[in-house]
Amino acid sequence: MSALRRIAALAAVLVLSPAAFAESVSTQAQALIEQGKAGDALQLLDKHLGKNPQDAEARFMRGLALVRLERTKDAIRVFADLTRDYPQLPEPYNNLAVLYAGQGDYEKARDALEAALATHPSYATAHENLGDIYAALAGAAYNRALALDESNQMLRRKLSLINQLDSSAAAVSESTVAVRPQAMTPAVAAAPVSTPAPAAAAAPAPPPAPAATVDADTRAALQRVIDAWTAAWAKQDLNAYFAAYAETFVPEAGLSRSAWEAQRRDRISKPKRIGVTAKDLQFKAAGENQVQVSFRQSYESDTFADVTAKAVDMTLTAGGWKIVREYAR
Amino acid sequence: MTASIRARTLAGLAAAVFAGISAAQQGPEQQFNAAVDLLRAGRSGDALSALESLTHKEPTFRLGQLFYGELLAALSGTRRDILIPESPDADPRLRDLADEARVRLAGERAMPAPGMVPSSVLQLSEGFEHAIVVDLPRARLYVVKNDGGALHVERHHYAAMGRNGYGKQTAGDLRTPVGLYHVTHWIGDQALPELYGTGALPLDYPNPWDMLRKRTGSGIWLHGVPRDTYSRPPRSSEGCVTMANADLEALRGFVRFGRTPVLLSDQLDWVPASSVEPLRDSFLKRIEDWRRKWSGKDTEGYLAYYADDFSVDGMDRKGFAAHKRRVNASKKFIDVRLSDLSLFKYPGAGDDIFLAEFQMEYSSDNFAVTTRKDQFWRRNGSGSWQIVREVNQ
Repeated sequence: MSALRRIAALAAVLVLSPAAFAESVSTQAQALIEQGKAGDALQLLDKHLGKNPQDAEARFMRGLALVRLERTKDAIRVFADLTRDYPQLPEPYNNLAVLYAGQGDYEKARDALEAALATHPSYATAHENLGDIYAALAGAAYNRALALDESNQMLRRKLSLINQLDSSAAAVSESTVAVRPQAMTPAVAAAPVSTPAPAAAAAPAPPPAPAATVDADTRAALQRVIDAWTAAWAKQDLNAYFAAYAETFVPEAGLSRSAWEAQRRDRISKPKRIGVTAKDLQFKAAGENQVQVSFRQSYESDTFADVTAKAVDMTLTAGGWKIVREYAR
Repeated sequence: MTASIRARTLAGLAAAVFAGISAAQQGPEQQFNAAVDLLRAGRSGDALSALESLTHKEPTFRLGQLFYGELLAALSGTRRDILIPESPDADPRLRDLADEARVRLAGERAMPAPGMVPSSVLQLSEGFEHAIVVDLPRARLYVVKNDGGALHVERHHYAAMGRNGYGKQTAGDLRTPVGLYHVTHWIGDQALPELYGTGALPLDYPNPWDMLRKRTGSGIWLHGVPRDTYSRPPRSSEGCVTMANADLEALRGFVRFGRTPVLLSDQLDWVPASSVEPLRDSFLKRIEDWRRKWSGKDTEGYLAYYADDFSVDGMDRKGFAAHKRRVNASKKFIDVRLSDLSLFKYPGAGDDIFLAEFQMEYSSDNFAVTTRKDQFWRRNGSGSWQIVREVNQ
């Protein structure tokens, strides 16, 4: 992508160390990040930067690794330093803006994007992001104008932006009109970390960002609910098991709620023992207080064992997160 | 969008500097109106800077926030209904803010030209240094200074009223009264719930005219607003007149209890001072004639000034006439002097009800008293003027 080329070319000029080596470290780090090994990428980059402190591309990649590791403050410092050292590069400004926005500081975000546009007036990503920042600022202003449940709304809006920071890969799948205009445009994707287009097409389903569209607190809460649910199932504790489901839960295959419950009672209480785990949880926001959690379910009893790709739609109720749909994928 | 952003970064800087200088002397309303003017002129970048500076300075000025939001939403290409969280409160609040925008934008231009006076203030006593005039349909409050009889507007600002507008008749009708009142006292911040803001100036509603019209209710105040908002929508109170706390504090400085008339008007016209003179002079002539007839013990001539439906202190016209005939006949002499005279066309009572407020020194061979008197006069179709109500304060 053009952003990548621009930075890479620049790095070749600026960096005194062998350009080929610098490129390979950044490329390696990028691959690691895409495999979900941001920590390894960071280690690699730190080692490299120890010897090549001026490698702009590696520094940029380091910022992206920190973003993936949710070390926002450190990431902000990295991108801010880059804007200071390379004010002509628009990408660090852009990413700085995304991080500021994630913190709810839309005005700083706007200033950063305008700085990016000052040197690169046709930088499309910054334009799109600026549009989103304006939307976020507008939302905040509307909230203050109408004093609608102020604190909550502000928080929700902030969260939705944090989500969108990580949603670059998944954002396209968000279908509702309500989400689209607010979706933070691929700030990360447009930056050098993006797999070049052809590779992306070929890549075997790159592991989605750990936080696809859902913030850390929510993910943690959902994780706890899923853990409690599988634990209840394994302990054959029917009350706790059913407690994981919302009143509005709709069983698959057209089963009635009572028929489904009867079936579950039968299947859960019959085996002598059950082992069940949910692994590789992935979260996708599906609307306000709606998250789809998909995972690999390993089930094992004295009579049967399998591993399936499962998904549950969760909704936030007064009693916490509950399952409203459950299906095999 | 590119063009507007570019414009903003450059021209915006100049606008921000300019705004920084002028904002110091300008209230939020002036800044808001200036931003709207910029929008109308197509200078959206400058308008954005102006609204940003306004919302920073007065974050609780909700109208400014709304327009800032509208402009940002337009720049972002996002529809408002997507940005505003769903809430049953959203629509009514947007309507309220739209109303406020209308009256504020009109209010700025409603500043009367020099030399114009409210047509209902015919004369202001020298003892009244200021009058407060509220144009209820336009949600605007004017402080009018009395410069030796010459009136001019000292300041004016937005002021909101009852949820159901004006023309109070009964307790709980959520309307602001129309009439002429006086401030009775001041209630400070500490003594008030947050709803009233930094203070309150209670009015003497219901006054004798209201009682004559059998109007009920009480507790009509001029007061501030809760600190989480700069102002309230035009129609929002239970009948009080509310205003920004800063405006209330400024207003307080002009108020002398009982000596600052508060005219709550349903139809305020500003006219050249000279155009009220004929009406004032003909009113003055009647009052003087009434005084002279009383002083001259011309009891029948004096009584002719009292309308058939006049009543006072539980006496009807007949009882009053009998009483006056008896009293006046017992006197060797009567001397009535009037001073401190204010004359008003009474608000909300059509064209023909007038109020005279004055101080009266009455003396006779066996009795003397000084009182303040409020006299309600009616101009009849025939051109005659008669007193319908008289109250000694």
